[in-house]
Amino acid sequence: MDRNSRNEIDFDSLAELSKIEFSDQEKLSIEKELNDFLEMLSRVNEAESEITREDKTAMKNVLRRDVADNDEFSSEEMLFNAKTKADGYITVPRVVGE
Amino acid sequence: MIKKSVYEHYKALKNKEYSSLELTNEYLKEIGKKDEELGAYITVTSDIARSAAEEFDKGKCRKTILSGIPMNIKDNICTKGVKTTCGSRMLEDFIPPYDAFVVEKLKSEGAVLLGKTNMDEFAMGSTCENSAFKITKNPVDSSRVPGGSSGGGAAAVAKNEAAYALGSETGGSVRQPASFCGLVGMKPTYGSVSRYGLVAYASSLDQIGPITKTVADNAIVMNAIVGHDKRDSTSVLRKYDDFTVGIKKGVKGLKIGLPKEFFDGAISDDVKSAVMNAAKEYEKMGAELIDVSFPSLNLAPSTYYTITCAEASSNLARYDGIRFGHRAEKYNSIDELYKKSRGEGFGQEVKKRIMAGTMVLSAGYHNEYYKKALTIKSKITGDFKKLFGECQIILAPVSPTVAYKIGGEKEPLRDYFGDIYTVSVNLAGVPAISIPCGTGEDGMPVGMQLIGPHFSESLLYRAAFAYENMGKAVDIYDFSI
Repeated sequence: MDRNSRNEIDFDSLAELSKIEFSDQEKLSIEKELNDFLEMLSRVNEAESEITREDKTAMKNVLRRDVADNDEFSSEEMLFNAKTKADGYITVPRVVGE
Repeated sequence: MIKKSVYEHYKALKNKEYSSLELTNEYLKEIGKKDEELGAYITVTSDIARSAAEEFDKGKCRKTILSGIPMNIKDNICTKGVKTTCGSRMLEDFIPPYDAFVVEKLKSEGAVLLGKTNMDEFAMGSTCENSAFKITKNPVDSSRVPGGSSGGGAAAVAKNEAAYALGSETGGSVRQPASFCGLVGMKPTYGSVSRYGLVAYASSLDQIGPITKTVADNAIVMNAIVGHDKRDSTSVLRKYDDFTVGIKKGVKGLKIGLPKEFFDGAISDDVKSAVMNAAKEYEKMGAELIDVSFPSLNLAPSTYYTITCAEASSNLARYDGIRFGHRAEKYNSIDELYKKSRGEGFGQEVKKRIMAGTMVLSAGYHNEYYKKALTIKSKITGDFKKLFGECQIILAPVSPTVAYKIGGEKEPLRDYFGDIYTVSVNLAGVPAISIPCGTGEDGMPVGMQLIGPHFSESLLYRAAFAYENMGKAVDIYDFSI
């Protein structure tokens, strides 16, 4: 992909994917900046290097086993920062049966 | 007394020249007097500070060099029961239920927490202007920025509002504010300081580091926060050095590389000549200067921002208004709750980076951007490895210029390319220390950085200490407890 021919971004679909609502005014001020920024990122394509076998194996998996071993926090502590809660649960708008 | 270094406080507390409470009250008084103008603190924890100081004075805590000495912590490092905002409206009222690993470590040493310091929102920025709450001023010239993103901590230490600060780096956020404020800042080897409790920006690069007045102070604080922690999957299990051991050995015979790319291009004359003068001083002290090359330097900023935005878009997905953080007041569906909460809670720079990260990870762009950036990251790591075959450490500027004017006329993308000398260090995961090396335009501080191979912090402290203490008697330092 040539950076000069990179298509202008589809702002609305990126905002949808990012789950961010923008006001029209905010969109105006951020869209140009975002395009300049993405233009800067596209300079990674100036690098001649190709992905080598070595690069692909540079990372190793460090994930722990998926076992809950955290008894450090009470449920009150875990829920403390949630805005709405009831009976030890976080409450959210209805997501099924609308 | 608040002008003293950590080491001097340690001696004074030991000799009972003053108590920790007296010292703490002096710092709190200074914060009360100056911080409204300086803007370094988001939260001041006077009660917590006084009670920790009293514990020390009553002999109730472990005695180490740091015991009873007041400090501050960047507001993206979790402190149990103390608001941790990340400089964002999103976390304006977030109170963590736990302490970060580094906070546990400092508390166990009897450190006195004065408060939480200002920063660019979610550590995204290099001026502190992106904070949702306030703009921190440069301690030398209040019309300029203190640097960022750990600018609050640096400004506070330089203005004697704390003895030392903990900051965090993803691409220079400890070294650059240290440089702009005339202080010492360490970016440790990736994996040597646990990220447990550090609010994630780009997890593969984030690292906590100390900001101090002197090199010895920095080594003392690093000694306290380094170490393995199983709660951070990238924490490295090894025996860590005592960074004060051998610090006085000097630099005779040390091979110091000067990569030509760091001294060409956008660097301003005042910064260049200050750093080159420092190199000459090293030569006078018996070090050998070697011209080297770092060809990937120009690719570092775009690589860095591609990787950090990608990781940020994923890491910041957790701020959805449900479990913690800002929640919009009006919404009709769960989707609207997410979008409105995030739209209202995040500032412009954060939104921009989430959007950019979302794009570089999306189908069609993933290979061209993200995978390519990872390839260059490996190349940069390889370039450093090659360099450390030719020399033992690298000497380079921290920033192309001295501190910028607040709200000044911005060239497009200036802030991003201003990071050019710092970000490659984070991409390679190697350690680097920023130390003052004179002044430039309008008497503003200039910083240089010493970069070394993975886990070479002891060598960096030794080389930095040699420069800082040129011509001074260093026998006064005795680090044994």
